[in-house]
Amino acid sequence: MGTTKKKRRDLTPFFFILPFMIFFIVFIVIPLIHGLILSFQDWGLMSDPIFVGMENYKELLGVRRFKQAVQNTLRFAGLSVPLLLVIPLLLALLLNKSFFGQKLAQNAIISPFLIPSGSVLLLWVWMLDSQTGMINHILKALGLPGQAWLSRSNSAMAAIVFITLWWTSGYNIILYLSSLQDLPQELYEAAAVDGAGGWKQFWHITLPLLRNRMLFITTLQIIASFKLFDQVYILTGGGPAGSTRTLAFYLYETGFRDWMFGRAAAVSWYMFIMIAIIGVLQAKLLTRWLGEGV
Amino acid sequence: MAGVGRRRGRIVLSIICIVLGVVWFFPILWMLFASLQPNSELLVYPPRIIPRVVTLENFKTILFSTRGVNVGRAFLNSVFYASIVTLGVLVTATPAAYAFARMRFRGREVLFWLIVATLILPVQMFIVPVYLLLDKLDLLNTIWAIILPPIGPAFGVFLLRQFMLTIPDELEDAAKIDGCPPLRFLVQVVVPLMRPPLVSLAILTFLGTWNDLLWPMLVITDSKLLPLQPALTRIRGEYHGTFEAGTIMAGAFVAAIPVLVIFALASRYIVRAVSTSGISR
Repeated sequence: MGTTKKKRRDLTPFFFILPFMIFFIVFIVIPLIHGLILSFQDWGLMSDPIFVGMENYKELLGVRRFKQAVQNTLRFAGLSVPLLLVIPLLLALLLNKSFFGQKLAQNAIISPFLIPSGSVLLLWVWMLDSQTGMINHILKALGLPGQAWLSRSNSAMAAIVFITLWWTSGYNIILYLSSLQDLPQELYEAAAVDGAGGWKQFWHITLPLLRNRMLFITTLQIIASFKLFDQVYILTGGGPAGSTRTLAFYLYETGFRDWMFGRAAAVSWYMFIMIAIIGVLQAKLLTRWLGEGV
Repeated sequence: MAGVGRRRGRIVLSIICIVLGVVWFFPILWMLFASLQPNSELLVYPPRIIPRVVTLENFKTILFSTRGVNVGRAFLNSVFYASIVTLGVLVTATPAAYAFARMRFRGREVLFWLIVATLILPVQMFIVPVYLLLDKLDLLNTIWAIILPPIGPAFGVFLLRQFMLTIPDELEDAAKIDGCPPLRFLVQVVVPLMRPPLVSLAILTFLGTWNDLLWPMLVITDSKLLPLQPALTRIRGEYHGTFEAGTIMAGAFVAAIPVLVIFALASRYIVRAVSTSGISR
């Protein structure tokens, strides 16, 4: 009795993970391996795949659009990551207090992140329209000059950063608020007894305790900024003059407009390498910088 | 004295935050108010924020028009896709998470962390090979191309496992003594216990599918099968942005309604879903 029962029990975990593993293997493991193989192949819509070694990787380094995409992606990350780290923190600190209308303000600021990109971006295409857009109407009323925000290379990326900040801050605010609510109140009471004011309390208690949360949000934002696609696709199509072409958008163009699968796969591996490098660097830097406050 | 200063501080804070909230939310209100106005009203300067004439004409046009893509149909498609994906994720991730959290088998830890490690890979790494795979299987331009791939990622397994680790051992021991089979234990005891994280996972999965643009746009070209997000990007080409802004805003608002409703009804759950999604710290 003992042996048969034991043998049967041993297979239970296998059956429990099997349904998930089938999907995981088919849609994650195999594509990952196939993607790596693809990146060493030359494969267009009409031809058969040919092994070309590192050719895709080498060639890409000489492609102007690719270099531009790398630059633009880094520019977007450089602008959006710090903003999405700091501004949601400030908003969360404001919203963490109890006051009349707190819930209302919180929901109003948080809710945009849930709205699909299609809705949000069609709205902003119109809001930023040079002739009929609300933003230029408001600027005009204030006596300021408006402009065609999305069709000028000096403002298109800034507009994308601004919209992304407005749209996605809510997510980070929720993450910050949940951390702020976990902070030990005794520390603040003790600090107040010692005569430490609000600013000192923030700098010496709140900030160090939020360190891990900030690290997490930074990592999340870096990965998210490398994936920037919807905004570019809907708002600018990569233009003007390629000034908003990001890596994710270039990958889309390469794979699904030019139908160069091998090269598109190589782009995705470059993306991974860059995310990995930046991820390690930011973890080290941020730990050192934020560590000082402890 | 201090009390008065504090009360004044609180009133100032209240005013700042309410103004900030109204300004922040204004674009969404404008989307709604614009969609309720005839298109011609939106061309006047200064703009009328509060509608002078209220009409549902824009919604009628966008939902039932035969001009190009049908947003009403795309809406129903999206409800269907997002529900099926959510169901698929819950049904596959729950037993797997349970096995990784509570069952003993060789290589459990290694396998689990290998699976979780794939979560940091950007989705772009999978787009081309999964597209080619679906092409080979002749599944492009079918509902399967939207429904099947999102069940692969390990997020649900990771999230649920964290919570299942907290189930008290005594419960399992009692079940074993009673001779309760593992599957029945999972369905009748674990699932009810895991309601909060399961709801969180369901909400995150539903919203993720509802909001996805790139993937359905690549794999679906048939406008009958199109979900809402790619359909929205198409209406932009079919309606004239400047002269039919109200109609386009109606389309945008239709896509936003379900998430705003979910948020209004269950903001608590969404807040919890998001904060547990950051559980890794």
